[in-house]
Amino acid sequence: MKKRISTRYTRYIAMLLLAVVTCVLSVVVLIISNNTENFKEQIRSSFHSNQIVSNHQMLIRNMGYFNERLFDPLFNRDISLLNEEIRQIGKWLPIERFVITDPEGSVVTDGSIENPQYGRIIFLTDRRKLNQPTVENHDDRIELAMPVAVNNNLQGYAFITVSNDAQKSSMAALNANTRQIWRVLVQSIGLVFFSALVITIFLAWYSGYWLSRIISKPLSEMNEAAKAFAAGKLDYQLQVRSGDELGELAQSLNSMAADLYKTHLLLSKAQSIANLGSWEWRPGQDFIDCSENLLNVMGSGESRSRIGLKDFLRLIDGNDREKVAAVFQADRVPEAFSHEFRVLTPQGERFIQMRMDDGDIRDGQFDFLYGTIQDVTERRQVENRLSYLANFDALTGLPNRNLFQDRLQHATLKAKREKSQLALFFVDLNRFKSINDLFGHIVGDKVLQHVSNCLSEATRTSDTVARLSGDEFTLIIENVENEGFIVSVAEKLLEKLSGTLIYEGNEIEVTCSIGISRYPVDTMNMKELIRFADMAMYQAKETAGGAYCLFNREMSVQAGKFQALENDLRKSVKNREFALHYQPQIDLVNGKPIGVEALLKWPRQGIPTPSDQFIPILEDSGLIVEVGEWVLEEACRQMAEWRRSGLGDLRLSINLSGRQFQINDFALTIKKVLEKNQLPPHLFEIEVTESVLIDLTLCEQVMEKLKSLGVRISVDDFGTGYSSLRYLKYFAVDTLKIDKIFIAEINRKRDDEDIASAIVSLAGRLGIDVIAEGIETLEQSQWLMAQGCRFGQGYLFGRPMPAGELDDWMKSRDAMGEPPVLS
Amino acid sequence: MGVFCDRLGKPGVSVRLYQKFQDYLATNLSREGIELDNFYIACTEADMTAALRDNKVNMLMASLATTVAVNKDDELIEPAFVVWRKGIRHYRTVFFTRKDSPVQTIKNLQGKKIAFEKPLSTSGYYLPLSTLLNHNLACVESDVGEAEKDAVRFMFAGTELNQAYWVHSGKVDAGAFNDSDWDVTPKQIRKDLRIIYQTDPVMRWLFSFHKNMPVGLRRKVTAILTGMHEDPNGKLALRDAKNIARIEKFSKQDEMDFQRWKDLLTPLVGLQ
Repeated sequence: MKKRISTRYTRYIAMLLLAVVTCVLSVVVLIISNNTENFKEQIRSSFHSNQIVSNHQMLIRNMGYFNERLFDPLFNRDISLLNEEIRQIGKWLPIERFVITDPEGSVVTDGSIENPQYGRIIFLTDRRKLNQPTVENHDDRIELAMPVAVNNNLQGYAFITVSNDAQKSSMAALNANTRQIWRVLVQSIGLVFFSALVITIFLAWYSGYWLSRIISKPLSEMNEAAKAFAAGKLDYQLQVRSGDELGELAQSLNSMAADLYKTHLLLSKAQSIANLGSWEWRPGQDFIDCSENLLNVMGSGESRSRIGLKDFLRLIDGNDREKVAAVFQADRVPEAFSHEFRVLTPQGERFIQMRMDDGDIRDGQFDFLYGTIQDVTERRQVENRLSYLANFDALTGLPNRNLFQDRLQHATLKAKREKSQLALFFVDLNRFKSINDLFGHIVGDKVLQHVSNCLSEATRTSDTVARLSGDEFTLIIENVENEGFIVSVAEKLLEKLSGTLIYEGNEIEVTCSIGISRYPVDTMNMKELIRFADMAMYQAKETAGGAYCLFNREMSVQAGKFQALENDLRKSVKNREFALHYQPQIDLVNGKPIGVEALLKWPRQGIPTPSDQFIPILEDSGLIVEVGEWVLEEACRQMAEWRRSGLGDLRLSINLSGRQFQINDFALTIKKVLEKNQLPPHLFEIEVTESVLIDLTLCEQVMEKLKSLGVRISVDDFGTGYSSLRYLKYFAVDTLKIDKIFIAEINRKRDDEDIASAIVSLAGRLGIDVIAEGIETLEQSQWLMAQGCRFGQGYLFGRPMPAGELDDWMKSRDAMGEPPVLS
Repeated sequence: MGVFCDRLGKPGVSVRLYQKFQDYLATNLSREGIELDNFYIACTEADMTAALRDNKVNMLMASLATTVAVNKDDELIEPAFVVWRKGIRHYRTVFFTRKDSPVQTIKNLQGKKIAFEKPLSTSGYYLPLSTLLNHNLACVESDVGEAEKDAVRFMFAGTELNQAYWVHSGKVDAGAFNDSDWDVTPKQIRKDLRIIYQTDPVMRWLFSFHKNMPVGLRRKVTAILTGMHEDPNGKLALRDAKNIARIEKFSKQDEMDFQRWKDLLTPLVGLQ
């Protein structure tokens, strides 16, 4: 095969061109890499040193200022003015401690009104005594000790400790941003290098032949072009003189430049993603060179690489402009700088952080400044939001428990200082749980928002309204003049809050109970103040509901009595010191007993205690669960014994508490006890109040299971509780027990007669049995029979009695043959 | 209405304090068809006296000593109300020394140094000065070169806090300010101090009418002022104006008290 010169040239020139292009590319990459790496390192190191030494330098720089501000007041022993100076310095310096002493080291003031260190001696080292300032750097702080003196006239010393916390977080953020930008840059450069290498190899080989004929001029032009690219002039265009390989090579070199330009764009993009912009300024220039993203960050909407200095400063809010403008002074070497300022853009205000290194010095001359700006608005917003969430309730916008505690502490301290009074209101909605259960949580939330609005409207702006949890609200009323004022506020609140709220067609009755304690009248202890208001609120709730109550000392005494009662109850539960009495239930028509109701008795220390005194405590303390199990077991055991002795098919009624419905497998427990004592379920009846049935979520499942067992359900004290009759529809209720308050006034009050008659009629229409409670006279019994009421119980027939006495009672009735009460 | 600068050279502070009070008064008088000019702020007694002479001011709210000073020459104003400034009706001046000081009575101050608060202060200057003079003690300001050896030398500390520290550090032998300031003196130094004398109580602040103000207008203003503390808006205005609890019409006893203090303070006011 014949070797042609074109082939040889092609090989040689291609190798040469490849080497040249590779070198040029390497140089370009190396320059960019070096410059970028240097820039990165310089920014990082400058920020690092900036952050570390900024406070240090700030302290050093301001020593003269401190001395100037402190000398005169210290000379005059004007402690008020010294405190004011410390307060002013604390506005711009993150001061942890600022103590001023006299020349002997005795503390004159630490800046606080209380001044607890006053007179304490601070040890002075020899260096300090020689009137030389000392600055000590620590990881978390910088300590400055300096004499306060003018022309050797020493008046004392200032000891200043400055925190470094803010700088540490700034360094971490800067390092993260720098790493992110550098990662993107390295990836881009690698891609460009690889692409350029492939293209260069191809072009070098392809253009070799033509280069063998036309070498000098095109090579020279390409060399110039390569130099221009290396110098960063990426918009330099190599002239394409022909359509041959040289022309293509020229085009390829132009493409390479375009790729490099793309790298530049990627860097800009990276800055855009990071909301970052960079800038550079040389002394004497009335403009600054900036990255394309800088003006975008500043919110001007322009994209330029240069902006006039005045135009740049005009973008900054007036309050911050002077401080930033001070950086661009040609007559002095600026120092490291980090400052956040505000800009107003058409989209609203933005917060910008501006950072710069110390001025760059070349050959003893101040050469140029460079730095960055970054949009930190989102960070600020997050900080504000976090602060809000930590202190405010999201549903109502009111202060939460955390902020309430803080406000209350401040209010009590203020009241103590000013010798004034404050009142703490505890506001609790009545039956809020029922509102949630009946109408759902969305309506419940609307009620809470309604209440929070009412509370806010009814109080002064200086008062604090807070939501502690659920339906618990508090009010801190300051500068209370007298009790009449407290009463007027409470009555105003009750008037505002009580009423009917209509939401999506639902009529919701809202009432509340208010407890009030006063500082310092009731106590000067904050925890006690809260506890007393809570006690007063419960007193209000128990007294009336929809009322207010001021704390008094008797409540503490009453609470102590309740506690003693509860303690005795706990002992009695442990020692099984309860008894069951049984009251017969009678068929009014034939006078025969149809069943008995088991009633719990507690002989406290041998003295009978009314059930309305100890049963609520059993329920509140949860003891009712254990006692309830004993009642179930004992009553069923007794009934089984009566059945074995031939007493017949009497029904056993037992009262159940709402707490017992919350026990797992409660229905299963009843089933086991009935089976154990061989009692037919239809002769076992549970009595529950309307308030238990109204809570559908609580009892729905248990009721279904009990009904499936065949157990009867009776509604106790019917007519005294909730007016809703929905539960009669939900549950197959077997019996309604008319409360004795309606029976007592039969033949005397027409209203009670009407109610009793209506209940009998309602039950008759629904096919439900009716038992009238508390029948004491023959006339009552006869009237009830006339209305169609078939069953009753009361002292007319027999009072609650121990099991042994009931045996005798039954035998005496059998012996008489006829019902004595109806004869 | 006229008021004095609460802080010397800073009338803006007084505007913020009394603007709501002024607005409340103007709004209520406008319902009666009476227009009230914006209030007049004076920084010196002479300035206020001139304004009263020129009938630029018809009503004045000021301290006891300042009221006496303004009235010294022409008797242009007639005090009519006690103003419960900072929530109190009366206050008194207490004299205090270090517990280990040999100065145990007012008389022991002969030839000693005492710190007053500042000129124009009723409780921090006029009352203690009057008290010292009534005890037959000569008083001269500390920077007066030649003075009687037995004279009490006084100097101005600028604030009550400085008075307490100056006494504690021994810079002066005694100090005098009102009993409310004594209660807020830092415990750290108050434990080393003791009260050696206290004056009779004086009315906290006064509200006066110009002697030429018509009786009918006085009656309307009286009705507004004495009812402010029962009106929510009035209460807000009072609270802003240095936490005034109420404004109360002069009783016979108040008139006698004012006359007694006026006799005592008139020779002193205007000396500074």
